Amino acid sequence: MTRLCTCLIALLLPLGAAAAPETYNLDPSHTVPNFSIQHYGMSTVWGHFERTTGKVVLDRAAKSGSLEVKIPSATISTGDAKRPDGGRSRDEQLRATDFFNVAEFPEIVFKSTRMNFNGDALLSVEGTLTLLGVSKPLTLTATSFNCGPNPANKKAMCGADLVGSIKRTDFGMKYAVPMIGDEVKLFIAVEAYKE
Amino acid sequence: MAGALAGTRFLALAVVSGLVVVVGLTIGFMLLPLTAVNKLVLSTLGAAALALGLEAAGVGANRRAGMALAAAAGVAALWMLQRIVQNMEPAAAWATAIGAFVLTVSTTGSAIYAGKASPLRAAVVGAGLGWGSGVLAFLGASALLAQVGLAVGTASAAVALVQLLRGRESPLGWTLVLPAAVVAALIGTLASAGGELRWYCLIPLPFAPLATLLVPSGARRVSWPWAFAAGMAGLLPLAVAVALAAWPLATSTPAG
Repeated sequence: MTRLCTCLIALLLPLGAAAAPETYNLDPSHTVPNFSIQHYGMSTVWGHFERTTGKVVLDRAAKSGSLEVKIPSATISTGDAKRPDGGRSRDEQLRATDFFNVAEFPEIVFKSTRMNFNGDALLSVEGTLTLLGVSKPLTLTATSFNCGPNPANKKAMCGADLVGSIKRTDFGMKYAVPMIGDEVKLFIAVEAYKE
Repeated sequence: MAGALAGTRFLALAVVSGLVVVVGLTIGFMLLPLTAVNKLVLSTLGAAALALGLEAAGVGANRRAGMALAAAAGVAALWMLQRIVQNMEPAAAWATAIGAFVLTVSTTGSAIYAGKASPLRAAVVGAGLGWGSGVLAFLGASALLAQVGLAVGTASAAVALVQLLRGRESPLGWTLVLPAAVVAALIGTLASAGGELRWYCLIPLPFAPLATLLVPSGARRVSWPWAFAAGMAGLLPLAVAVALAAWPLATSTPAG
């Protein structure tokens, strides 16, 4: 009888573990916050940040979770990093006081307050974006969300594509509005491995 | 504003009006969170308030008061750069803090010294420092700071212009140059610590007010040729600073 009970407990343990909240660490090489912004009313400039870190906690049974993303603002890249003639590049301008002011605010942080699910599918992540020392609510809509083993290394992982938009003037980034657009569209690819 | 205040000791208020207008049009007056730029604005407004208070109290130009004001400006620079310095490695942080303090104290001190006996010279010094710091900020990748510097420089030039048009100097207001000197030094340090301006471009800044003293005040010192000559003398060190900052960009195409 005791042996039977032990076997049952051993069998049920993984189910209990699956129902508990699971922690995933963001993979910096596959977590890329992209953005786009209107430029002089002529075209759209695209950019992204690198070396993004953070953590996702998912409780799929309870349809809840949390997301925290830390973005090093100095890693901004818009395809104009260094000019061969020694001139100031767009990325250097974006790092300076008028825009991301990276010397003073080296990190952009998004912290979720709520994750909304429809069944197993992630619908959106509500949270707070802190940029240039100003915190404002931001909702990111999930256009895709998947969990499963990585086909290559078999590690358990989750991934999502999140979209949203902010007005940069809300965060005090007022320079060159409206020549350079106020609305910044966000496209954030997230991949995270189970801890 | 300069015209309205021309007969008073409160011409510093006219200089500050330039700052207020440009801040209203660009940065805005939502001064929280206390970013370095917002601290720059507050420090300059504080300098103006201090200047007006000293004039109202009838405190005359003296070495001790000048040194105290220069030291206060240095402390304001440290306050402005506080968060930037905290994000630096210790060696760079110390170098930046000491450099900012020395630059701000020396620029403010030399401006007060050069302008204490002549409101017209003080206005000329303020114009040079404002314009010079504005151009340096622009070359250091901050058009926002450039606008602030150019606005304060232009307001100081208006103060000089009003005195020239009236044919006589305003009543001695030795603190007239304080807001322009403080804003110029703070713009320079911020464009360097938070932007792309190389630190050595700021070395000529404190010499600009002293260079105006190369043109001595004569019996008829309120004259267009004198103001022009003093202005040109003051611009010499600033031209060196701008040349140092512009050199790497001279052959390049601007980013947009």
